[in-house]
Amino acid sequence: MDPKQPTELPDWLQQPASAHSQASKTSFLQRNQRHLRSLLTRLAQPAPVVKNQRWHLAPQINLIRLLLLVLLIALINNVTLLWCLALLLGFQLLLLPPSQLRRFVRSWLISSFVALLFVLPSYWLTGPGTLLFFGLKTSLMLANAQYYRLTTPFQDLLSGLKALHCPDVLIMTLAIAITYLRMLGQHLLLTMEALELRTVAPTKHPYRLIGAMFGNLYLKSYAYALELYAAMEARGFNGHYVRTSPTRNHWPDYLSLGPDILVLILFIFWRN
Amino acid sequence: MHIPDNYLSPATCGTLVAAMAPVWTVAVIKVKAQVKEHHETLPMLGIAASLAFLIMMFNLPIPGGTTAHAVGGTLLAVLIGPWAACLALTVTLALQALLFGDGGILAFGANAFNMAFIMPFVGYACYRLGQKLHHEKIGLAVGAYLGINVAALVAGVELGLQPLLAHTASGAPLYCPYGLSIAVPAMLTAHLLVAGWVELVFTLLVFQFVKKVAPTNLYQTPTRTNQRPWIALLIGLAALSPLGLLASNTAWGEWDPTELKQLLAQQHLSTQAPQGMVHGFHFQALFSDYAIAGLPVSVGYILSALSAILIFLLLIRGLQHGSETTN
Repeated sequence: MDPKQPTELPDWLQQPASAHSQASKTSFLQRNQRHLRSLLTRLAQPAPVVKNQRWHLAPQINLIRLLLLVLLIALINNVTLLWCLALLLGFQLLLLPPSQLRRFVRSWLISSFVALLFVLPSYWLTGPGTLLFFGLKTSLMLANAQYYRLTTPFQDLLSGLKALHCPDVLIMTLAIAITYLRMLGQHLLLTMEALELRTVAPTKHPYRLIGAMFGNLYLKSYAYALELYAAMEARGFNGHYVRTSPTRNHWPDYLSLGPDILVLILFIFWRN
Repeated sequence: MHIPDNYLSPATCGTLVAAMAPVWTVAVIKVKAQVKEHHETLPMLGIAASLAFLIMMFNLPIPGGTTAHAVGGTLLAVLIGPWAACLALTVTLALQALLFGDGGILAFGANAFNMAFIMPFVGYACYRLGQKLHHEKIGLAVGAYLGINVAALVAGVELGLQPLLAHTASGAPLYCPYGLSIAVPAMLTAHLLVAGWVELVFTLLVFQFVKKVAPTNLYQTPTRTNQRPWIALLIGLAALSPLGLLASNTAWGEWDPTELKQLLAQQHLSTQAPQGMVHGFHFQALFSDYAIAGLPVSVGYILSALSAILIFLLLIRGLQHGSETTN
């Protein structure tokens, strides 16, 4: 028994499906989904942080160095000193693996371009000198900030803040924010995907939809907060962060601040 | 509205961090008191910070095919309270600056001043005013629109002041090169025409949704507050009011015609005070220059300060609703 049935598909099934994408109507949902997905990927698989094992600095020293460097670059108007600071950063970048270095260059160029975009019209107001000098300083600041981001894990940022006597409430808020950013982002993405799947006609009032979406997200976050507090209480949370003070040699920390302090001294005495 | 690094001078950044320090201190104290009543406020702060982050990265469609994003300062103030919103937004800005490169590290104080202090507090004040007048939605809408626009105005002023505050000997600006005449209109136009309306509609719709679905989850303003610290602060400030006498010169712009004439002559601008000032209207106050005849000037200052406080307290008391009965 081998029934002879036609093996070919009917014509209407063979034709390629031409789904009418309502790009203009739903583009804001799709665009936000794309942004959210990239954020979630970034949060789920953070770039591996490169730590120099031989020169592992205390988290607070890293934070102080960043603040000192950014402040110095903002204050210094001497091109030679700025050049010295750029060289210092360049030597630090040499220690990064090639893949990290490429990441650094890409994100540094993008952030510098965005920051400079707003200042470009000043070329017609104040001339090229101001624009070039401003561009150089801004790029150097952004490079230092980018280097800190690449080489410092989030936990070190929290430890650094704690060591610098930042209030516990703020540190805890930061820690919870970064954890729940992923959870809330995931929830928002799922909601958007569900909305897109259920939407068969163009939305008349997209803002009403967005209002409901974020209202729902707030209520969800409220429920998370209640559950989280119950969990914290169950684990004996008393509202204080323990400050770990491992016995370690501090000379690399002080030594690492040396070049920055040297530039600071040069800035003070060379200013006039 | 996130100001990047190098747009503001270090002096401006330092001043704004110093301006924010008491706000953060009071916010931490207030939130700790709030946590005693509502335990969930503690984790809610962190979750609200991540919510604010998501609000700021969500692109909303605007007519013309482009998009804009809301900040959510007023919304958060209404949902979790203004002080908690201040802390949550501060944390969001710190996260954006340190981990995502949005907004400067040195300019963190300025960004926090604009977006974590001015925006939620202006918005919340309008909302409370609307609530008192039984038109909370109008209050919220006005608050959301005004909050973001006042914050944009302040950001514009901060940026626009830079060429005046920091420049080389030849007059070339060292930081933001745009003066007030460019920075303020540029910031305000974008916010008055687009961002303000986006913030208004977004805030109103989320608030409506939450109020409809779970009205108890909205922040409830404490009915009775301890007024003692405020009275102590006012009395302390009154006691400190003669501090200004330590300065020997007259404050800028408060010169009388004789002093102004001397100043103009010193700067080789004119030998005479403006005629309008010399022949203008001169009001003789009861306690001119806060001085009371027969008393030392410092005592006159303290008495003037106490009198002003008393008059304002009496005015506020008189304008309050008389529903309370005395025992």
